[in-house]
Amino acid sequence: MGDRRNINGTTYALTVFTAIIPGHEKEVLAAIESVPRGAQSPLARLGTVHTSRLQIFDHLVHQGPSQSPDSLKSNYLVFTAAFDGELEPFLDSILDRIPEADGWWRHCVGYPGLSARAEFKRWIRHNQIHTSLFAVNSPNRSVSEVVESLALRDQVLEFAISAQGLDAAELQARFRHTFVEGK
Amino acid sequence: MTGSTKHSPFGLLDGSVFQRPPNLPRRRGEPAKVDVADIQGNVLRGYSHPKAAYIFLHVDDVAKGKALLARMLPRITSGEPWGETPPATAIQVAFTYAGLKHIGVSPEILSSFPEEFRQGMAARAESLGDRGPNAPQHWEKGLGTGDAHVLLTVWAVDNEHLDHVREELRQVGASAGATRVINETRAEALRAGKDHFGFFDGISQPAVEGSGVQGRPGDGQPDGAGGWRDVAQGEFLHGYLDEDDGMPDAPIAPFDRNGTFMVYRKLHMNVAAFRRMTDEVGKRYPGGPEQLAAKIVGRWRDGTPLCASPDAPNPEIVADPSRINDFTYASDAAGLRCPVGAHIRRVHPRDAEGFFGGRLTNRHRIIRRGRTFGPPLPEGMMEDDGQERGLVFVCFNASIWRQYETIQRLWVDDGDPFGLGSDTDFLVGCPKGPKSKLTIPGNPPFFISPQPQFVTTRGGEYLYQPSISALRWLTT
Repeated sequence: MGDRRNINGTTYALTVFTAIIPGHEKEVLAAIESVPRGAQSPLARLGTVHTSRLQIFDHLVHQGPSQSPDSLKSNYLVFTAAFDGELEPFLDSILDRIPEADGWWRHCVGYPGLSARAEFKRWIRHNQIHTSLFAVNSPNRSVSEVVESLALRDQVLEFAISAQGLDAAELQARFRHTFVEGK
Repeated sequence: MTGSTKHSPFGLLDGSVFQRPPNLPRRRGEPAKVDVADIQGNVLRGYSHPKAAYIFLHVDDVAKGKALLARMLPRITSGEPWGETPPATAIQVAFTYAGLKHIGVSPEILSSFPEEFRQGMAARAESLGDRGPNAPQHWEKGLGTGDAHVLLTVWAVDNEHLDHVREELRQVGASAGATRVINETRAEALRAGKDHFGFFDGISQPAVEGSGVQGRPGDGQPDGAGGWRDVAQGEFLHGYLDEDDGMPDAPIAPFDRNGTFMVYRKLHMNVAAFRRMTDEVGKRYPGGPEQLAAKIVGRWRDGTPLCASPDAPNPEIVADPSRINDFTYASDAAGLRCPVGAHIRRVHPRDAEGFFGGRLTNRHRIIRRGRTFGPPLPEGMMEDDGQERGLVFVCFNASIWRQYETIQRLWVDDGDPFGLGSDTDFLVGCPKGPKSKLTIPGNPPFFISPQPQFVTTRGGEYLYQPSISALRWLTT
């Protein structure tokens, strides 16, 4: 199946190039810049997204005389996301939980809008290109597993610092209290 | 000092006044492959003059300011070899972006300078870790406000020579209504090349290819065969090939050649806090306070690298210029000799794990030209005496963003590149909350937490230090 190309471990990488309606570049840029980042990002709401990026692809870099200069027919909005699971449920979760998506895609050619569910999915799939190479730190761990591991790491570190210098018996008692009985 | 040269700022002096530590003799000279006569002197050569003054000027009258610069021009020190003994004084000139704009450099030229320089250090404070007490609103008067136009650095063999030049500059500038001094720091080398925390400092510098000065083992970049190679000139000077074998991005003429960017940071050092911490925590640390201090820095106080001698200082290594800086991190991936978070390992990771044998460090080297300021805190004193003391940190690089800012932003203010989470540099960084710590790897590892703030930014500027010929162009 062609989709295997977009998968690493349990992570799916989606890449979508959508042509920007000529003259709407400024609006797209403003829409992208208004999207909060990090924990405030609408994509963070889903709890399954490892990384995501919105960017404008507006020119090709000429890489020297051996290559003939090339140019794009239009500017593109590029959406990329690496997330847990399959594409279909991810698209559903955008439709259900990210109303902001209209804001950045509505300036693109042929965008049907979130209200037209089937057309939206068809439009995304039509503009999807295969992600042949992508990097996610923990492709075999879900986002929630990664978050949980980080919290445990913090807890262990805090324990190690506070238990520094204790003798073996006391250390064991403190460990049991923190990690076994405390659970 | 001999009487015949005492009052001549250009006279030659007996070499004994230059406080170069005997174990770091002047790097040997060799024919230069750069235009040394057009490059300001302190880029490729460190000065051993014991006294210095960093004088920030505001230009009130542009025409008069230019006339003053024209008069000073013959006295600006170039990189030409100066024989056996340095001159009694040396003067360098650098400009902030506000300064270049103020004196009428054309918009076309101004826009060819990179964004970080145009913005200035204060605007980038958050990403540099200048938060809390380090933030620009607490900086010394005249720094980070756009008022500083020109930085004059004056070096001298003694205070008499220094005062002579300072007074002359001040009076000529002020009486003509040309310039005003808006910030000044007098700096003085401490005895035996130590910093205020008591560490032998200034050992490591990049060896620059064809600079006219021979590097010592460890100065350059790992050559992949167990040795060292010089770093390309274009990393530190515009108009020469850089480590990518291309020309570094540079402003347009006349600033396209033989000039470089300069970073100025005045850093307060809380010596009492450092002593108290090493004393208190050192009682619990199995290696004791001295080893604890060494683990924080990455060298013992005498300069012995932990990588070369992790259990005790080694006077033989320190006495040998070919060994004092000759070490790598590849064989110490876990940091059992030198902690991964040790100061010198973070700011210059050499061939540490993740840096691909040094292939990811070669674009992030800087030439350091710092100098201590303020009197030493008396031996044994554990409480602050209220005196200002620290380091005037100065460095040169072809790109502030790629070189200095990478070190400060990604390596000092963030631990991610080293697998250290959000821990900042324990010695010079701004702690990120009560969980900031230093991990000293071992079995068991040892943690120091919370992290005190030992070093506080008192102010800073990004500057451009033009070539001698560009300085001449600026006077017209």
